[in-house]
Amino acid sequence: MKKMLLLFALVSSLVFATSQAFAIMISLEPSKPKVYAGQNIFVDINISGLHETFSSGNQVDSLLAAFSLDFLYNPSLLTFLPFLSTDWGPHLGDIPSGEAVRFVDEFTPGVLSLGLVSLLEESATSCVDPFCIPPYLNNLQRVDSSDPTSPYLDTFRLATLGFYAPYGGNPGMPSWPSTWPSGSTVFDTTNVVLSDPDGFEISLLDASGNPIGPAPVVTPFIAVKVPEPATIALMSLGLFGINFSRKNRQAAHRGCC
Amino acid sequence: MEKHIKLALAMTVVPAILALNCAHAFPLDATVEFNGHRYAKVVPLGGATWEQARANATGETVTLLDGTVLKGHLVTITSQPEQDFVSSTFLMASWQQLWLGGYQFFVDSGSADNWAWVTGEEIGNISADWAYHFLDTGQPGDDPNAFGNEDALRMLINGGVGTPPGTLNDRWHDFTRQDPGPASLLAYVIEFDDLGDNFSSMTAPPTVVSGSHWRASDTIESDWETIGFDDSSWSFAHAPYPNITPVTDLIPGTNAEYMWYDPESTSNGKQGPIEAFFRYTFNLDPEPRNLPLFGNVLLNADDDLEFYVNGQLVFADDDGDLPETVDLVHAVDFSDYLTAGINVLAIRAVDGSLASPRDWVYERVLVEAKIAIGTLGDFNNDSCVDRTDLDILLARIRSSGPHSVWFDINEDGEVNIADARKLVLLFSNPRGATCD
Repeated sequence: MKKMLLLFALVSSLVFATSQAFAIMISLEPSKPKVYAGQNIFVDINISGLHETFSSGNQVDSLLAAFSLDFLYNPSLLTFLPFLSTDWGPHLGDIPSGEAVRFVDEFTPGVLSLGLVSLLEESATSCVDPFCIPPYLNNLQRVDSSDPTSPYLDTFRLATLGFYAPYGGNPGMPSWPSTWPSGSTVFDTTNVVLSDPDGFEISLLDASGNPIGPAPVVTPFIAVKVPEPATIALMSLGLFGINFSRKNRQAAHRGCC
Repeated sequence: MEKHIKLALAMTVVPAILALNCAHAFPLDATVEFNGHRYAKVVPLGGATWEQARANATGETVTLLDGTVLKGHLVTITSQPEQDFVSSTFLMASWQQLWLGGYQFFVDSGSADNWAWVTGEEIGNISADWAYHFLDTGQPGDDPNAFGNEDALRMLINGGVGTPPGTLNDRWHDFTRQDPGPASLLAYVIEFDDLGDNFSSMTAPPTVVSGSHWRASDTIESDWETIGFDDSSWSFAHAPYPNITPVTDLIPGTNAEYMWYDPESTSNGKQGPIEAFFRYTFNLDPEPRNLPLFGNVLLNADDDLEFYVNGQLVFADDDGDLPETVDLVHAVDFSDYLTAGINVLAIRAVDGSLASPRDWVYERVLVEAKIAIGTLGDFNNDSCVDRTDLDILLARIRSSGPHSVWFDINEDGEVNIADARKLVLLFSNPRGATCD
């Protein structure tokens, strides 16, 4: 039954996403659909639709130079791992090289506020010396970053966040496991702000290319399952049984020789 | 005189497009020469605020026949012959008015204080410090009106329709900069010379010191510390108020004076009211409005005080009347409380202590505040826009509190990550390197 519910959540997300195809989309891509207690899970945050033309003739056509958003997850099932969340997409600049600045805050459990600001110039043709230092945003967000005439990327990764599914107790202690986490966690984003290279929120453009308002941003939520305790307990019992029988056999071998 | 009138009549038809604010070559034959300078009258369609007139005048140049380019600015009148020339050439009819290049760069308690020409030729009290003025009786009057403080000069013919020409008054009056009318009678004169416009957008007082220009009271009233409170019924503080300790012992080199509420000036510094309230109102006019504002103050009271800025309690000195603390000078940064427009510094001072007010030896308040308007994006006021400023802005974006307008760098009404990106474009050095 739970698998059916999970499948329903995933399918509904896709339906929702399809209906909003002509908008900037923040998509979330977990590294696995299930995460067991004691395991890590990673979630890619991707963006698409920065260069889209609507049937109405309106369009979004912008490079991305900064973003901020709130990422939502269930803190009773997962723990955020800052040290495993340093791999952010390179399309706004390399953070260790000083090409971009990022932040992640968790003032409220289950709500990660993250943001990134590119320090790169928009393009080689728009910059003024001594600021003309490559790479440029106009290159990094193309299919071939060495070719400024190649198409823009349809989708690229903004960030990767790492989480850990903790055991409900202290591993190795007599009481372990005191409780088992289980259920589904929904990943979602809200309060998305996107900036163009000129420091203005990315706008929807009319047919003539004039800004007519903030570009719509949608984020289909996605669910990840943390299996219920019985599954893990049965598996643990099975492993314990296998191990126990193996030791018995070894003891029998020693006794017989 | 007739020649001037003809020229002026010709020039009144020079159209003005107020929206144009870029450098523009003014036709030489539409100007008239006086004492080596060129002058032109512009009649703006639909009237003009002083700021619009100033901006348009500043955007004009005129090229002489020998190729010399003269820079435009709102006319400045520094002698009686020049006054007579401008008046006779450009003023035509009853109640006609001309914006002049005189403005009040800082609005305080004195309507005549802190006036300047846009060129910088005069600065100070317009009545006492200017070498020449042609103010009408009772001017500058800072008269009540719908537009706020009167802080810019007009020359006007102060006479009704039908007033005999020989009796017209062409003296100067102060008007509010935002007053664009009357549209049918208002014009401005551009003067072309090599001075150009040196208008200072910083209308803040660089230093605010305690003295007799502060308003004072001994009675607490509701909202007394807020901007909206009308303190016009308060008397002025008594300063210098007697005290045995020289002010420079507390704040070396200061021009501040001890002050207290003592309207009769009868106290010897020991018999004033136990509590006194002080207010000082000033205008900050950054251009653009989102420039960062900085304020740092040195405060001392015998004995305790509360310091408010725009109605918010910034600092309380509540260490009582202990001999070892009464001469402590407190340094307080109130930058976060300043705002573009009208600001009010307010002080509640108490003899004895805040917890237990009582008459105790001396009473006094000493204040020296330094106020500055910074550069866009330079939040730490170190003359460099760098990663430190980006970190300051990101910290503000990440906090949930209300944000000052000076963090809204892209002027879209919100402070968010787009402002951080805008700040990157203001970096002094690539990638936000510091300015060593």
